[in-house]
Amino acid sequence: MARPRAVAEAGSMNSTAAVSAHRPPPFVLLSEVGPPSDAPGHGNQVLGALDATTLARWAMQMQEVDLKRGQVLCEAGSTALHVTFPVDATVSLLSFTRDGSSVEVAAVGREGLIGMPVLMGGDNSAWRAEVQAAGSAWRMPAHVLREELRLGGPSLPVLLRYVQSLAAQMAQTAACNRHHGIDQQLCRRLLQGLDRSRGDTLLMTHEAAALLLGVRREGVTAAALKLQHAGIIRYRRGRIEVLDRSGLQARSCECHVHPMQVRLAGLDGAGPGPGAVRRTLRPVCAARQSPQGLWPHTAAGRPSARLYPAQDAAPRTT
Amino acid sequence: MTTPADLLHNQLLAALPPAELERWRPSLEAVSLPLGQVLYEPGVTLRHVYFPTDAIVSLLYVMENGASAEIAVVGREGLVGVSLFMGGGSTPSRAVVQSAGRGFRLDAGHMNEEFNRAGVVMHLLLRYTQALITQMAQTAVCNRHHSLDQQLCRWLLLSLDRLEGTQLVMTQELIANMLGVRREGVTEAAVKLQQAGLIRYARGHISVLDRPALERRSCECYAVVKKEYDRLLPGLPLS
Repeated sequence: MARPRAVAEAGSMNSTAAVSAHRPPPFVLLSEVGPPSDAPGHGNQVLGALDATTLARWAMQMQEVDLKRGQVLCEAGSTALHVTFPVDATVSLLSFTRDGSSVEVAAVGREGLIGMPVLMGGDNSAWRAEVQAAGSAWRMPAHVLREELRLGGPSLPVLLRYVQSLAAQMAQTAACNRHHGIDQQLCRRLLQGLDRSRGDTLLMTHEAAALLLGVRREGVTAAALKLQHAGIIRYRRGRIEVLDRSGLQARSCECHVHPMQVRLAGLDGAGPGPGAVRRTLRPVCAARQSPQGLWPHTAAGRPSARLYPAQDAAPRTT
Repeated sequence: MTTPADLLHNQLLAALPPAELERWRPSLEAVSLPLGQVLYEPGVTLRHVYFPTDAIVSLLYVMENGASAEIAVVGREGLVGVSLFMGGGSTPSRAVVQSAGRGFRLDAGHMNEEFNRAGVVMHLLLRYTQALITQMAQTAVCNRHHSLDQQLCRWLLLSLDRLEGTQLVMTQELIANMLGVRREGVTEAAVKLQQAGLIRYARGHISVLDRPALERRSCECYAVVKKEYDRLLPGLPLS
């Protein structure tokens, strides 16, 4: 049965370390190697940043699910029945124009949750939530989140912080779509996928990438060919293998921000000092980060805040 | 001095139960919001939230090379500074007064205190924040799929909804920053609308002559955002 759960100490690294140790080879869906034998919630960083009481309460209502590629978690214009916390799946929030064109307004992985409209009280989602990369996730009924909102419980700061991060990603995408070209945007999107998955391979066709970026497939093919010629990726039958991650980063626009970092606005420009590192969550894919290390500065030279600085977020009191 | 009528021109404040608003009143400071004033920059500690009454504020994303793009508009339907109560990071944007006017501001301490009561105020502010986020996402869609001409129309409509009358006074530079183009691009886009009889445009003064035509010429993004605001903030119809 489950070994002692480390998540009781918010910000613990142990749960994610265990996942990495059992990392399956790429291409293999989690269900083929069996579910991780760990307590509910682990592997998702929102859940990992929660206080022990809230997580224990939620754990009773949570189940682990395998998300299949293309699965629609919530259709645009409807209310999600469940809140989903991805572990190594990536979910796209997709918007569709009247003439049927699509664009991904945000990607959600282990750093986040699907169900923001339930949390914010608006219930209906303007976007479709569709699984882009298969993998596992935790799922709980939406009413649990609604109850949390009603109570104004200690989980709210963590949850709202993620919503801020999601908003930042959407804002970034808006600006990116105004100014950046497909070459950079494809790199950005591939990096976003890698950040949220295991290994260096993405199951993504040119068609899928075109739908996410809101461009023609031919444009993606041309951009992907360039990357292939440069030895950055290898593309074969729907699988994109990234050979040179730092090469990808060099070619991406500044709009790629690691999901565990948040651009600072409204906070002091100074980032957390070295002492803070011990207290905060390290991203699961730290090993695959750029050579800049754990606290890469934003290109503007400012250190980024951590998405879930654990202990220093005092729980709200009502 | 702050008069009750002025406060109620901001629709979030007007949506507060009277007892709540009474509690806020001593801390709500009437401010003038002149054209071009920067309310906050990325990386600077937010000290206030702002509730515009007849000013319009643009949330602009600024790239490393200085290129900018507007992410969202805020006027009397909302507030500037959601990151204060959302905590952690925030929209990495700059808030600039796009159309001069007035508003109220509330200091960070009081805003957080009110929000942390976790009652009506929190629910209202979260629903507003969701509307704002939806606007940002729609901008992402619009910037990918729609023309500059359509974007200018959409933006004119969103602005009109937040003002009385049909006049907008802005600078060419601010419009250029908002659209993410050079000034010449603004002139070009505006002249086209003028030639079509939709607006009159002269060095930053825009008069909208034919609003229905503007709505037809705009992309659907205007209607999508308006519908979502109306849904999330009922009883606060814009325009």
